[in-house]
Amino acid sequence: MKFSIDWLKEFVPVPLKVLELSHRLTMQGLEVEHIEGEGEKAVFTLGITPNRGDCLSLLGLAREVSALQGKPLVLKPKIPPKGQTPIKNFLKVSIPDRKGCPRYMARVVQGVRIGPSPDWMQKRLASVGLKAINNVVDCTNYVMWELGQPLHAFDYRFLKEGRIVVRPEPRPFKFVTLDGVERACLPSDLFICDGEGPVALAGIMGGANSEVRDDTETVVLEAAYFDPKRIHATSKRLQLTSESSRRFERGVDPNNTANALHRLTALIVETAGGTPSQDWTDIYPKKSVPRKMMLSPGEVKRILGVSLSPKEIKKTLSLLGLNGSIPTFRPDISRAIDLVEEVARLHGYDKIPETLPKIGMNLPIQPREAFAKEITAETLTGLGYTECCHLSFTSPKKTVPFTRSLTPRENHEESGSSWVTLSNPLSEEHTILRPVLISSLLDALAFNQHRQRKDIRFFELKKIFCEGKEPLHLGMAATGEEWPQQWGLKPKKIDLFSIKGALSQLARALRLDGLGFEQESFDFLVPTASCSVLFQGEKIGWMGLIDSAVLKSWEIEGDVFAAEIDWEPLSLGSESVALRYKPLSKYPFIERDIALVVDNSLTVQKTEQSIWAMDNGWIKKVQLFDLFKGENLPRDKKSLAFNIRYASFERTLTNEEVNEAHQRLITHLEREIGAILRK
Amino acid sequence: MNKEELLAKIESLRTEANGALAALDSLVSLQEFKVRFLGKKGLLTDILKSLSLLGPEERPIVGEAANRAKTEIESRLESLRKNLDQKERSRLQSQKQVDVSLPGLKLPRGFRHPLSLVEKEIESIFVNMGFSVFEGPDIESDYYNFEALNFPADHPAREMQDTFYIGPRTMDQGQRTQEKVHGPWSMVHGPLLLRTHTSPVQIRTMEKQKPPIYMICPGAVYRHDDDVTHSPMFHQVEGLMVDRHLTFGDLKGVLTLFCQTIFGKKLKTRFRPSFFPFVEPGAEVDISCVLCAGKGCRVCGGDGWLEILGAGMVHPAVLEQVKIDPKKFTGFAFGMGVERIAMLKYGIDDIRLFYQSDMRFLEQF
Ligand SMILES: [Zn+2]
Repeated sequence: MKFSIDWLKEFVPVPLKVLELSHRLTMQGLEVEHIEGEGEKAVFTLGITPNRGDCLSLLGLAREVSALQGKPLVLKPKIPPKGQTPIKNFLKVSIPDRKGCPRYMARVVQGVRIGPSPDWMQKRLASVGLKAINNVVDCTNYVMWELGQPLHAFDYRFLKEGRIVVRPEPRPFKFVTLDGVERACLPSDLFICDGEGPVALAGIMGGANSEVRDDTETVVLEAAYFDPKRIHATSKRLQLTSESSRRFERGVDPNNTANALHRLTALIVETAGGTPSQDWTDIYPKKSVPRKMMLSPGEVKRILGVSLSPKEIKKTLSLLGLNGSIPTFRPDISRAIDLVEEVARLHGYDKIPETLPKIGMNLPIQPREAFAKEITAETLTGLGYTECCHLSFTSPKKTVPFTRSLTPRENHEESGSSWVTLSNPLSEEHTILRPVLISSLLDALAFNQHRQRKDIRFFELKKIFCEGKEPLHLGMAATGEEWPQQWGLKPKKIDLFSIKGALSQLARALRLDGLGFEQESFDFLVPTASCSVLFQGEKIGWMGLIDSAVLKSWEIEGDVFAAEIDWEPLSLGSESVALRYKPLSKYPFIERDIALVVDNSLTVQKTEQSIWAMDNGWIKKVQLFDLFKGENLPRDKKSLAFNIRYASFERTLTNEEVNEAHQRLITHLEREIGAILRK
Repeated sequence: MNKEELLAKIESLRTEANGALAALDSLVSLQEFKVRFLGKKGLLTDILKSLSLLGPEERPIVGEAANRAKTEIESRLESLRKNLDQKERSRLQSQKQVDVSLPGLKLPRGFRHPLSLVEKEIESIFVNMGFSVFEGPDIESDYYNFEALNFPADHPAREMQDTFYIGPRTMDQGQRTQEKVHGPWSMVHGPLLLRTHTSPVQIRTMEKQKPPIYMICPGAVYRHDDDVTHSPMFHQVEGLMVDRHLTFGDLKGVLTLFCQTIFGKKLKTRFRPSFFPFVEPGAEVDISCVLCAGKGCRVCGGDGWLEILGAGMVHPAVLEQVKIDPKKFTGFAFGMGVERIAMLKYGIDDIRLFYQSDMRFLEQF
């Protein structure tokens, strides 16, 4: 809402300097967003909150400006200009939809001469951002700005049968508003109709079929009060907002209608000539009256924490005309708490002393997964992974490569059916909510690669959206070198075991026994380097090398290793762990290395299992420390070297005992897994 | 052997030892010398063994000479040992000479997201004041996001928060999809949407828990908005206190304490009237500009104040909705944007930087 100081001064004295007025208005809840010009000519732009429709007029603002100077605003009612012919000779008004239109006033002015409005009016309208059209239309806008009452002028020639009927159309209907746009209207919309059909979309915009033209001679002036909810619903559905609808939907004063009509009639006669009708139509069967409302000083003290005397409260409220009863120009005030706010607002929020609540002792609780979340993030950053925060939106195009092989086979036909789709997306890129994290992580890798960054490791721990649930997923993606290039350290490429190691370390940090990894292929992973991730026997996600075809569509170069798991089982598992201390051994340990040549197809896991199977309680640790193929080994063989630690909790083991046990282990491995001891 | 012979022998041993000492040049030869002269089967021990052959009056004289010689040799030996030790250490040290200006070992490290850091800081301030932390779903119903929060139906107050809706546009199709995707509860609570604020969590908490309630609810929120200062998704921390005897003065006190904790003790706060349907009286909280300390600059638009929080006393209609008696209990609620606070704290000028994962940005935190 814009206004200029000189225009405001026609309603209320303004002795304050521009900056002082701006500050006082802001502190009274009418935020000054912008000031243009200086002194009398200064134009303020206010951010009026949606509850204060009354402040969308100079009259309403004058009330506030007067109150902030400690005086209530006093206004003289407008005197209706005199006229000639009785209105009934022109017009017959009926309101079948009483709920939609509680008050309708109309008056006719004959013999107007349409032309540009006077300079002073055009300047004022321009200063507040309104376009000048012609003297009659400009007068309606001018008075609306002054008094907050939206007004409309029809060309009398086009009102068939000289009738005005306020009613809905029974069937869906296309109506051309005066901006030339055809609007698809519904039976819930309210119209001003003539003897045949709609001539205006009530309270929102006039029709092209009845607007004032250059040759208009007789005008019908409308001042009405429409149901705010009806206006809002129609305006929102049609996405058609006008200065008129903005005011109606926020609630105008049904008892200011006559004032506005009289002011408009007088102004039109002044600027466009003509003769008003002798009287006017006013259909207002159920008059709105000010409602009684009391505010006790105790309530003020209870809510604000400051003691104000009954006298102070009374005086404060009467500054806005709110003492004892609520005038109809303040529809936002419906209960005592609204009056408390008015008291606080005028008293000044800054005058309410700051206090700290006296509360009983209590133990704040946190979401159950908060602790595990923090451990996860800290562990992964410690391992070189940087935390990401991506938007929850994505597109089917970016999602399909991953969900195709993740949705159960029977749902393949409609793999998108479990996605959460937006009905009003901002762009094609953002039409669904992420059902996986990996696509955003690839976006992030691509973004950085395209900015010359080669070594990148990201993780994201965020909600995904699928089938009505919002589970937390952990996504990881890495590419490039394991560590920065430096002296004294050989370069090493990131590989599958970088991610696997990080996941295992994470499990350890969460006090979990570990994760399982089982060979499994997925559409989007290289089949020879891909697996599912298991926790306590349940599949929770996947890990592997992203297929180059997928990377190509992201324009990513090099190998990308990634994983995505359902994180919540880890969090739950971690919560249920009761950490118990294990006693320390008093006795030294003895270590033996063993190098085995085994079949290529035998997994390390199987080999280790076989070693543990031989344990008589002495083996405390089995550590693979070397793996190689080739050289003088047969093509189908590999060499595995383990370090095995023997110890007992009861006594010191002798070398001889350990040698004997180790020999038994070798024999066992030779027999069970066909291992050959490598000398 | 008699006394004179022994004394002469001691003297010659002494001379020999001194000569040999001068030639010692390593800790190994030093050890050999020690064995030869002072060891259990050494030369001096031999002499001392002969003492028993002397008469009682001669024995102390020779004994004393022998001891003197021993002490002398030992002390010279010790000083020589120290000398050699020192030489050996210097030799070893010179081998370990390094250029300390060489860079240290660079292990890879990752970075926490600035929004995580700021959210953690906000949370810990409130948790320390006694607030619990609650979370809720991003996909909400119209009821929890608007209706229960006193947003009147068909009122422009709803358009203060442009909303993303879920599901196809047409009603019939929409309902079917929602039923399938979100279960039966969606049918009861109106159309589904992306929450525009985390206030629904306050409603959900008040439905389950009676006062006193001291809570904050962090999380992602969504608005149908996209430019340099607005992102369609951003993060909020909202808070709520409901108890007997809470006042607007308490609201001011708690929020000023918060602002001063996160931005510094010298900071000033300013509370001015504003409107949010779920609070009354409602307030907008400004802080004195963190960049110009209130003098006025580009960031604060010249007036020295920065908008940072929305707040207010919980509207009685909201309390009634969750069956808390507004005559017995009062409360206040507040909300802030995590991005906004992070941007002010770190001087970030483009909100999109938070979501692009540009390493050049992330590695600064
Ligand atoms: Zn500033």
